[in-house]
Amino acid sequence: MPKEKTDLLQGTLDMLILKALQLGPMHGFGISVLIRQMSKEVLQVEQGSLYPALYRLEDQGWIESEWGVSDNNRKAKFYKLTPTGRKQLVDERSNWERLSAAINSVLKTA
Amino acid sequence: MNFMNWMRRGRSLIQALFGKDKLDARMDDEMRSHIEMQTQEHIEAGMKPEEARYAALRQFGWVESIRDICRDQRGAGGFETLRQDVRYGARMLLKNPSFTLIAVLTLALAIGANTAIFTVVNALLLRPLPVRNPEQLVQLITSSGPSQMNYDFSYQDYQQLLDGSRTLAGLFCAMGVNSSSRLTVSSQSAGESDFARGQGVSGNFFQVLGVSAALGRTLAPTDDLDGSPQPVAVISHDFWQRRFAGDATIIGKNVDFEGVPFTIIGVMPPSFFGFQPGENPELWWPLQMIPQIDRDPSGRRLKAGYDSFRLMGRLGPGAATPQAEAELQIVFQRSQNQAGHVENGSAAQLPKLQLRSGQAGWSNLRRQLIQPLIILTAAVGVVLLIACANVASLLLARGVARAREFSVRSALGATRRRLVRQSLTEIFLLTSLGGIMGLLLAQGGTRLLLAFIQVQSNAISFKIAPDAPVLLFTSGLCLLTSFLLGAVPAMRSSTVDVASSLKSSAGTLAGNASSNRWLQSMVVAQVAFSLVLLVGAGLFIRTLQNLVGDTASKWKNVVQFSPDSRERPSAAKMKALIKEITARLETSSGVNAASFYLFGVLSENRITQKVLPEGYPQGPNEDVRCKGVWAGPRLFETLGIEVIQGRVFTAQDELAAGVTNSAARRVAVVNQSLARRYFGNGDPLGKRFYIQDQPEKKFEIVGLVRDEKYASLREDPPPTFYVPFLQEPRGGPISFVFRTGGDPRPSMAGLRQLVGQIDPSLNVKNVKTMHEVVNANVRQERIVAQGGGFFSIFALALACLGLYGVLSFAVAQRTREIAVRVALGAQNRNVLSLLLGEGVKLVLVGLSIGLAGVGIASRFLSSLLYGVSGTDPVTIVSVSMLLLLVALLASWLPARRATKVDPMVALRDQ
Repeated sequence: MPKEKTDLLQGTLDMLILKALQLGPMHGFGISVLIRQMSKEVLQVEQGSLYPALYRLEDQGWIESEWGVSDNNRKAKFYKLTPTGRKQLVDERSNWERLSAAINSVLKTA
Repeated sequence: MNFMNWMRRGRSLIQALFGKDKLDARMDDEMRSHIEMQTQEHIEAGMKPEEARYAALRQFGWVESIRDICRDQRGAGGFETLRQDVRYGARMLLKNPSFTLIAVLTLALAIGANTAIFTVVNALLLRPLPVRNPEQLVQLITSSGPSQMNYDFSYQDYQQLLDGSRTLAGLFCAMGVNSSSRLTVSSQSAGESDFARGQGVSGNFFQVLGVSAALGRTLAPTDDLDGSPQPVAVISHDFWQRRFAGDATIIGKNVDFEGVPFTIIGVMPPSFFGFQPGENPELWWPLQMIPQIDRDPSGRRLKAGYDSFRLMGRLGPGAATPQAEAELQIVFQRSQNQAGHVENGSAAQLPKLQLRSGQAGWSNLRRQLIQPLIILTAAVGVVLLIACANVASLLLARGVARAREFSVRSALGATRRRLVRQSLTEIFLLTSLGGIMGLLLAQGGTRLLLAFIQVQSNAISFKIAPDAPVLLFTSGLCLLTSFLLGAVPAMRSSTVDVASSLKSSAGTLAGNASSNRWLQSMVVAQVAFSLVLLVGAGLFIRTLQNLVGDTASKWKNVVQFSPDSRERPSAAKMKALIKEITARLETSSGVNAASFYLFGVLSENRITQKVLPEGYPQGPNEDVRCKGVWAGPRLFETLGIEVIQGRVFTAQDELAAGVTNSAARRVAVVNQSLARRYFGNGDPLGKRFYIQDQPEKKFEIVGLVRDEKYASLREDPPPTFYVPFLQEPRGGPISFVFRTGGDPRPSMAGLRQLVGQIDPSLNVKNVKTMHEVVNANVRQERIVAQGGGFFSIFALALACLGLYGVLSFAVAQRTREIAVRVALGAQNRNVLSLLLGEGVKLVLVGLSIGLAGVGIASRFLSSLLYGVSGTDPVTIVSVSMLLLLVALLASWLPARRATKVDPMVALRDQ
């Protein structure tokens, strides 16, 4: 059971990161802030999950990275979506909606 | 899209491998910037800067483990650990230079020996010819019995087969490579001529093989037309370089080959060596030129009855070997019937034509060398096993010494898999180093091996630069060795007991039962293998001695040579020359007796005739073939053949008896085998016999001589008759022999001059002492005896090293125990006998296993031995004694060291 949970969460986290980047290129810290804000402080992404996820996504080719300067004039590594990443986001989103609809319908019955 | 993906992944992998530090730094930067931003956020939320920073760091968790996870995600995880392992392994090996050196050297020698033998086997037996589609080539042979192979055909056979076959796309015919053909380059003075290895081939030779010339053109069928051949020749690349210094204007140059002018029309590429591995012909000429070369207008050699041609063909498209063989068999039988070779009307007795794969070319050397090479291959395989056992013991010993290190690493969190992988990496490093060194050593080793198997005057030259199959073989051997050695750490890892090994003091894991047992079994295995090898070598050495035995002493100081003349003398001139040369030889200083005869001793060529005594009732299937020697007077004296009864030839016998003149009796001398066959124990003197095709020519037996081995040292001497040559001259190559009182070498040196005085155009060739002739004949046995001897000595040395090492190690491990014993009152001799006893016990166990191995091996070897059985007790006992003695010595040295243990020092040291 716990293993499944992690998997689900891993895939979900990937999707959230991709969604966050849909709004534009962002560095790692900014992504975690964004997700926190968008989820109304419910989802707090730990750095221990965030960065491995970012490296994994980059390895898959869904995001790419580039060093730039943040608004505080600090050097930071910015990530942005690739075309394949965009497509992946759409796929994962429709999957998620299908999945959650199915779970909801199960929970509604009985 | 997918391709871009792969490109990117490849790039990042390479980055991960080579730019590791840079990537790490980048990651650090990223983490740092995150922490700073987090800190900033905290400060803006109202925290004090110090606290903010701590909070940020705390939230970040353990940086190191995140780094590791990220690194893994980066996708180069496996390589990372491999790199670490290799670096660590290399460092450990360098730290123990003596261990590394011994291990690598042992492996290098064993792998090198294996590679050397494989190189020769590959070049001689396996490697395909450098021609187009060699797998389509087939070699034609005939066989009249399971071990009666004949490789030669007549030109008539060739023509019949060529015309009659539909399944073959091509069939060519070639003569043997004649290494004593004279070649003179016209531009040079007449005195400067040279020998070239020439080969007469049919016009389609190069076409069927599927090769073209590097310069000029190859021979074509139009060059080889019956009756109008072209005097053109093609030369090999090496010959072009050696003789013509790579002259660019070589095409169209004229040379004088065997007295006939030829034009060179082509040069072959460097990789082409003909179709016979081991023979390196330098010049190919169209064989319709035989009448000119032989100076024989009738072209006898192209007629029926002269079997001097080798045939090879190429299968046509879609044709399979059995199909072609069946078809060619029919054609061949028809041809034999027509030529009147039918004997007793029974088709079943005709030789059968067979096809062999011609992919690796044509060879009759293969037949001779395959057995000794296989034996040597087995021997070096065993040597490799012994070497592995040796290195494995070294590893085991070192492993025990490093047990602490493994325990510590294990306690720090290394998985067992990781530890085993580490050990395997070290092993792999060792074997790779050994393999590379072995490859280098094999170069020299191959040369040595080829020197062993020299064929008389032909140099067997192969390309011995390591090519793909050899490299593959060596790599495979390294891998195999790694697996064998890798069993050791895999076993050991199951016995690493962290707590106890950490607790006990440095290095003394006395009585670690499992590894001790392994060490002991290694030694036992080494001793057993060494015994088998040594006994095998001993048996072969005795076989060699038996074969060569008395012939060596009987033919000491006997020399054989052949005359060499630029022009071909007529029969009458030949007779006069022979008489003159023999006379001169007899009168030259140092020579006791001289004579001559057709062909040579221990030569494969001999005259076989059907012999029937007067009134002899021949049985229906009785074999009445005998060997005939056409000899000069004093042959028996020169060769040391004992005359048992009667007399030898005299001058009177030499009067030529024409067909009509029956006044001069035809005389003959026979050997014991012949007399036994036809006359049983009766007296053969005075009886007469005739040769089957000529019943009117009767020979009277005037003498009986002892059996003599001519053709082979192994076979029993066949029934042989001797006829005075000058009474009954016959075509064929003449050999002269003479016996000197003392050292034959001065006489050998003066031969050229002696012959030149008689006729300036005469020279000598193939000057050999009988000792050399005998050696060439026992080449197979010599190879195995010498090679086997060498390898078994090497194996013995390895086994002794192993024994010495294991016992030294045991002494070191048991220092404490020995110290205690001494303290308790043990004398030197007690300690000695304790340790020696252990050593001897191991050796004895090894010997008994080895004896069982000898029993098995002897079953395979007995067919190759001569005069000694596979389980010859003398050999076995003497070898066992030798092994025991050497092993005792190897055990004694460390045992002696044990007695020097000072109990106080030893006990305190713990």
